[in-house]
Amino acid sequence: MTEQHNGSIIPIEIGALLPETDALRSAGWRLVQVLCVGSADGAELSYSFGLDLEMRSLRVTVPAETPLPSVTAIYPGAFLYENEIRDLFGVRIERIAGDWEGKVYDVAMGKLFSKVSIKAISSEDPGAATGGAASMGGAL
Amino acid sequence: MSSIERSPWLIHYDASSCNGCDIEVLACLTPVYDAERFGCIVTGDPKQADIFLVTGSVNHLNAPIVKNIYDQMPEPKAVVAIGACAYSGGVFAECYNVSGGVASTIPVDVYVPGCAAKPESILDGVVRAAQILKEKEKAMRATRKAERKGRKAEGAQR
Amino acid sequence: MSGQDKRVQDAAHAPREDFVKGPTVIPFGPQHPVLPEPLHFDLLLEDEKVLGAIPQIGYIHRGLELLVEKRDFADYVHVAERICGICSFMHGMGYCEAVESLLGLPIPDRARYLRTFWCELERVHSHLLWMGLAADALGFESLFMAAWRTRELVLDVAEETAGGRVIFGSAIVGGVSKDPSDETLARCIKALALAREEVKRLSMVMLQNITVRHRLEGVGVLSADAAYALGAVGPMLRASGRAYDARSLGYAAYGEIGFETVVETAGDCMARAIVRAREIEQSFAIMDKVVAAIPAGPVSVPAKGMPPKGESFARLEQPRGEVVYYVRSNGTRNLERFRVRTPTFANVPAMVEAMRGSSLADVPTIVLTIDPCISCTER
Repeated sequence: MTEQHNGSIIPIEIGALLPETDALRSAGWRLVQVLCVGSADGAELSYSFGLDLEMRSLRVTVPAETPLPSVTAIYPGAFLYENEIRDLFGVRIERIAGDWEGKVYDVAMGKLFSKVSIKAISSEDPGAATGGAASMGGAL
Repeated sequence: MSSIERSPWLIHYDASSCNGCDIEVLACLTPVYDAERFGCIVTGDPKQADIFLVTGSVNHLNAPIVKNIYDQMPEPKAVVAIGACAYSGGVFAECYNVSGGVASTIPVDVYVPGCAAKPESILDGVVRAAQILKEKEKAMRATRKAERKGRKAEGAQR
Repeated sequence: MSGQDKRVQDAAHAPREDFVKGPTVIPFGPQHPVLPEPLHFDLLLEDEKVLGAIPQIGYIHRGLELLVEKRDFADYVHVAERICGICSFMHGMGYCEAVESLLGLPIPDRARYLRTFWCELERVHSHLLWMGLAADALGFESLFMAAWRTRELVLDVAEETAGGRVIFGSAIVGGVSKDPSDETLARCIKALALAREEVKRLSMVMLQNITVRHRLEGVGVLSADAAYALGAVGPMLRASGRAYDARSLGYAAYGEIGFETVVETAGDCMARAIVRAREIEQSFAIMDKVVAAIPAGPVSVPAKGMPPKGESFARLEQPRGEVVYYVRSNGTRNLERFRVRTPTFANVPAMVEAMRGSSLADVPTIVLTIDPCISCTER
């Protein structure tokens, strides 16, 4: 039963993250969670995917200051995890669709009611949109 | 003057509680415990509220909101801090995003113990807060009266 | 200068066209009459239509995941239970399951059955809580009161068997800490039968009332593909036609007791309400089965020694959906990392998607039908 909970954990290189994730998405897996464990010299991210009851995790080790591509183009719902991980762990995740600019948990009081520029959201070109809602719709 | 004591309006805000106290506050308002038999009613508008029920501890993000709600309430007003978190941070006191109890942001009149606080003790806290409201109103009236007297005396002197 | 003053000043100096063109932004929350918890949205509107919503969380972030470094692994259950006061037992139990799998510690059968019983009790109380809050959001005050009155019957059973009303406090590493006698359990089943009748009546009112149906049907539709792609879980996913329920993993005693995954296909607010109403009914049936089949014996085994180096996941089905726990140990009494991915955290992107294209008046209904638990989400 433990096996069923844990699933398999597959270590991969940073470069293989997007192709592997894309392959899983095509095979019908859903994103279960993104987990980050910090360490002195960087961080270790585990992307867990689920298909029915099976769970599979891709594990990437990211040295400090190394950029990591965002998986939001494949799984748009990942933006919350990635924003959180960037804010709490300082992992440099790049090109998140729905970038909260470091304000998931710590909102600058000057912008209490707004995080993303309104102009960008309402823009007609979906490519220019940085808001979670707008770009998520595009990616679906 | 007994109007406020007999029918205090409540406002509830969850500062950073685990929900346990919040659902107990709601349980207080529903049939079995029924705080409304004391004339209470919950309002979402701070400007109509007399008693402020706060659950959970304060952090730097919600402190201005707690303060804002408190400032918008008309005098006299009373604050009831519900649960261990609202007193000191409770089990979360050591967490990095917890700056302490509600008293670090606004003055608290009544503390309700418990983790989570039981509806009976929350009711007790609300009833006590209503008494405090009455005393506060009395004091307010006395001050106003003294001021009026002072002004009259000033006028007579002139 | 306070944040608000700054904002007003910024707005006053903003170029004129920002006001004339573009959508209206309506802040929703954090202190809002329909929300018992602080959650904030910037709703972008064109007339009454919602173009998009930008969620903001962080008002009740405590940072309790880091606390695991300061507490003994067996004591941390108290903190894990307080991730959320609504699903407190399941949070405590999920943490315990993860630690037990790390320790390689099988728990006694009676403990597994009791855990199942309390999980289902919590599901009933949570769904009734949801039913009340949703009714309140619709302006159906009498149903709100009736649902919460019935919920008290369930909480009485919780208090009698576990000792707490909302924070049960009965999960420990290695089993459970309370052992209600078989007579107590039989008495509780009788009390629950009363609640069950009452719930049947309430569900009928909720699902057949013409006003409620008018407010829920066809509102906040989420297609099966969108729900799946955005990672939605729980009733949110099942109401859109995807049958996934983590209870099928067979943790605790679900493997022996068995259950049926509740699925609806419409994907609107009504479907989510129906899923929950059917789940309450099923939870009562599971509790009956558990009490009928509960074995005698001890309810806990001592958790001796340190957790070995390693990591472990645990997955449970909470009232709001699948929850994932992760623990990692470095071989000392304090775990190195604890992480919980709660159902509302996974449901936020889907909720935003469900709101797009709805009207402003439906936003509270949509927010309520995902049954948000912000305290879980932010931890």
